[in-house]
Amino acid sequence: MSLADCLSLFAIISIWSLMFLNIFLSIGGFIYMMKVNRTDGHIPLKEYPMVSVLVPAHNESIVIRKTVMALLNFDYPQDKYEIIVINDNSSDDSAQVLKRIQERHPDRRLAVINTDNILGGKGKSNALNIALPVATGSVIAIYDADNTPAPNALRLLVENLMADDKLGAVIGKFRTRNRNASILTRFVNIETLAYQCMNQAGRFYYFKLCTIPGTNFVIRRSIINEMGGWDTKALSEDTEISFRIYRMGYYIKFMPLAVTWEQEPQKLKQWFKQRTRWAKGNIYVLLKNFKYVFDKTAGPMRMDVLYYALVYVLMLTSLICSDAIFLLGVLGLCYVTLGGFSTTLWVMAVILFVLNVLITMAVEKNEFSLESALLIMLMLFTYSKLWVAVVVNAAILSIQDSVFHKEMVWDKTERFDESVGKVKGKQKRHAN
Amino acid sequence: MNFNMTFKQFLNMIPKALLRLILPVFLLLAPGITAYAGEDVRPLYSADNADAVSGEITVLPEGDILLIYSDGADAATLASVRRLIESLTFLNIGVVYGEASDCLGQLERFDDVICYRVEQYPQEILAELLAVEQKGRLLFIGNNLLRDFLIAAERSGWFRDIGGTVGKCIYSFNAFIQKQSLVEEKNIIFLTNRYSGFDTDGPDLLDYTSGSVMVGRQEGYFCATRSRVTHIPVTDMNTDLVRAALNAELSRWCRSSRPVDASHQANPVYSNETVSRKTYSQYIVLDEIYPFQNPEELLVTVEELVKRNTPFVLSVMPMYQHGEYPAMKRFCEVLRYAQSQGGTVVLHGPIHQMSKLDVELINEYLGLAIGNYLAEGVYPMGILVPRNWMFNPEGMEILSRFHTILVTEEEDPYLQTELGHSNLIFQDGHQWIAPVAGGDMEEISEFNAFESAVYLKVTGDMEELAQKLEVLRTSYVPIGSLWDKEHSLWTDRDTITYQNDVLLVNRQRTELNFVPEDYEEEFEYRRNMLQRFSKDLTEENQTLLTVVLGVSSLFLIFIFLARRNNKNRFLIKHGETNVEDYLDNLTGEPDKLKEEAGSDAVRDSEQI
Repeated sequence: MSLADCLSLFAIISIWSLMFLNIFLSIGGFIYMMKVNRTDGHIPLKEYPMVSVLVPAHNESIVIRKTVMALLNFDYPQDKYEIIVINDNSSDDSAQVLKRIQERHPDRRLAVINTDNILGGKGKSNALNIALPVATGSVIAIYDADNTPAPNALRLLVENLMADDKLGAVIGKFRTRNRNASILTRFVNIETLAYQCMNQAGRFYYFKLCTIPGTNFVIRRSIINEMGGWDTKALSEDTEISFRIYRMGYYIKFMPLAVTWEQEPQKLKQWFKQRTRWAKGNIYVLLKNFKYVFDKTAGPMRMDVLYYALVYVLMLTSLICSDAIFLLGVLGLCYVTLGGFSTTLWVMAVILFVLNVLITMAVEKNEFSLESALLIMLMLFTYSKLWVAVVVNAAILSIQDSVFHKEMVWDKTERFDESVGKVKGKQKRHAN
Repeated sequence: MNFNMTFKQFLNMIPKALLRLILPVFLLLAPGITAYAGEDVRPLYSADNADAVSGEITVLPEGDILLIYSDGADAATLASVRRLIESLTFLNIGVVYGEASDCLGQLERFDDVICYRVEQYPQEILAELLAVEQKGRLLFIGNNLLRDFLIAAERSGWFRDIGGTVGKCIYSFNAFIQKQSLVEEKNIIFLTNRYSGFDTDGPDLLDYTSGSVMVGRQEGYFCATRSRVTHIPVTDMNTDLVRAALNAELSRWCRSSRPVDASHQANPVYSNETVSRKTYSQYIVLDEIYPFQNPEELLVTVEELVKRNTPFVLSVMPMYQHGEYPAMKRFCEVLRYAQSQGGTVVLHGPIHQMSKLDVELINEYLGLAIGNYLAEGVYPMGILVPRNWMFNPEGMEILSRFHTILVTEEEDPYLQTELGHSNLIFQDGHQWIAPVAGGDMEEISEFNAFESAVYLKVTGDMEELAQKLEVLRTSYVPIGSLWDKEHSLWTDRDTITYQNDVLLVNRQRTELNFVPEDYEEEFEYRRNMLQRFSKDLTEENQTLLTVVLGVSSLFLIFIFLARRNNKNRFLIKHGETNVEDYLDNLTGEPDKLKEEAGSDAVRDSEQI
């Protein structure tokens, strides 16, 4: 058995194991989604708690108006929630935009914290920590500055959180607002639905495990206080905080009916930068928490850490191996003589991948189509391959950061003005 | 050197390897060359460098027959030349070959010269051909050179021009079977059979004729001999019938004696009756028998052949390891039974993916494979290889260990072959068994040109096998047994010789008796972890396929359920807002689009 055979065997076993794990999660996710979709998701409360909606923003003037307007439009009792926008060391006109909104809505509890480069400008976790002492709510809601949540999102999240004392946080679903902007945003839309929404649903259905997505979630203030705020070293503060919640004995619920729409990167460069930041953050959290895999007292968190380790280590290495063997094989530099290593295996994997993602598409409105199926196929051979590059890049940067002790700063994703394209699109649509 | 050749022909003269070296350099320099062209353009081919090329003289090696082909021959011609060389090798004839220019000045060394489709050649070669004719024989395959040769020899009356390009070739391999096929040939000529077209009663001038070629209403021969000149007007080796007939005539021409006098008169030596008859056999070869395929299926096929008293050959795939596995033992038991019942085993050549054969490695592996079979009492008598192994130096070296070589019609796609100037492999004195010619001839050997093999697959379809055997048995070519021939082969560890019905394996006399074997009920495979995984993967593929089908079906049901469930859920009710409109309104700016579109705005997004 040659080295190529050994590596192929490793890749086959790893990829198929992860494939079946994913299928398992999709089945659970589907059942959960169907179950939730039969309800309206609401659990009316006798008294609604005070909620502080925190919105960290750094140079977000293009999108912040829409975000704040969406937050002001929540159907949650107006006197029971406040919006705190942390305008963190912005160099654009975010402050003026926010001020104008405040002036137009003097009756609403909208606070803006403008920071400079001494106090702020050190990342999302730092911005949230700045807002925490100001926040008066017993429940904290977090929204990214590019989000436009549905009016019922906050009420759904809070009602579900308050219905169970064991819940530390409740997360909602996020969708791609600009999915038709480019082929990249279409891929991101599919990825978001299939891997962030369906997998979350599956993990919650089977194990009561979820990972906070960084936006559109509510968390008990007491937990944040107990944790001592957000870890400013973590780029993926969401994953990090999820692990900490598990360790404290709480669990996190997924409520797919609480929807927020967010703007995704339209260009590959921005996408690559954003995903590298996420991957770096996840690597940091994984390394920080991997010890808990062997800690029997860590509870369900062990499984989640293991899940992340599987995704990042096993999938990465197996994809690199299989792609390298494929390329070397095409070039005639490497041959696999493994019994049972056939095109059938490969075709079956592709079919399963497409069907698996199509289930998610079928659950959503206007997502299930032949075009989607073709996009999924295309995604498998293009977008998915980029993930390998992202993780490798993130690993290299993490090593660099660790060696040179780099300080954490805002690594902001560039925003796009959607109104121009949308107006043209609408005009065209109405003309037809 | 013929200066009338085209540029393409000139390029064809340059060895391919040299072209591979030159072309990238040329492409790199091309922009510079283009820029330079305005000032001073020199042709790539000029008289100066022609002299330089012609200054290199190719010294042809020694051989029985010289084969001349056209200067700057195209790839199709070279492929046909290779076919001819193969045929001559199967006839155990040492053949020397080259382009006409390469052969110039060296024809006098040969008594027998074959000219194949020579269209471009130096004029001086005509005089040398005349000199050869004085002492030996000439075989012209094609028309151009023969026409020029006869005109140069002032024997214009010897031929008649037919012209034409398409004709019908008719050939009889025996008295009862006549086959015909369309052929394409330019400027056909025929040697004349009478002193004059009107002299129908005069004596025949042609000493030998066979077959016929019809162009329009004109009819001529497929092959004819007049004195020392033999002519075959068609050259298309891609036509099965032509290739088979050409091989038959080539075989006959090679077997016939040379003339004893130099006159151009009819010579009885060339008459149909005087050529010594030799019978070659055809061998039924069950090809590509894999060690781990169903032994029962193979046994049924073997028993069918034994029942019909038909000798046969089993071409078994080489097995390099796990010779002790029960599956291998069961397989070899069938082979031993076949050996004892008149079947002969030959080893199928190794399947590889090397562009350059690693001789040492392949010899080592062949040694392992033969050792594994010997350990089970199976004695391979030869090797079976694709036809292009004959032209590959490494292939030749590997084959040098085997006396008996069976050649298949396939070509090894990974091997690069060099035509060279002689069939070097002839010097190793192999015993060749050629593939039978012609797919449209139902793969039945109909002619006695040389020993040939008919390859059959073990499909388990006894009816099909019976039909093929019946056709073979009615053929005029006898079915031979490899046990009637002598064989020898050696590896680094073993030697096998078979002579006078005595089989010596490593110098020990060995009998071919069949003794059934007892098998271990519980065989310990001693697989390591990786091998177990690999084995599981092979075995579990079927299970995996079933699981995937199951999961796919489940997913399809899920998709159906989700679609049905969503059908009503997503219908927008009166008074509800479309999400896009909602998102647009969030800016606080007047929604101009909404005003323009009116209240019937298209609602195509998720409701909120």
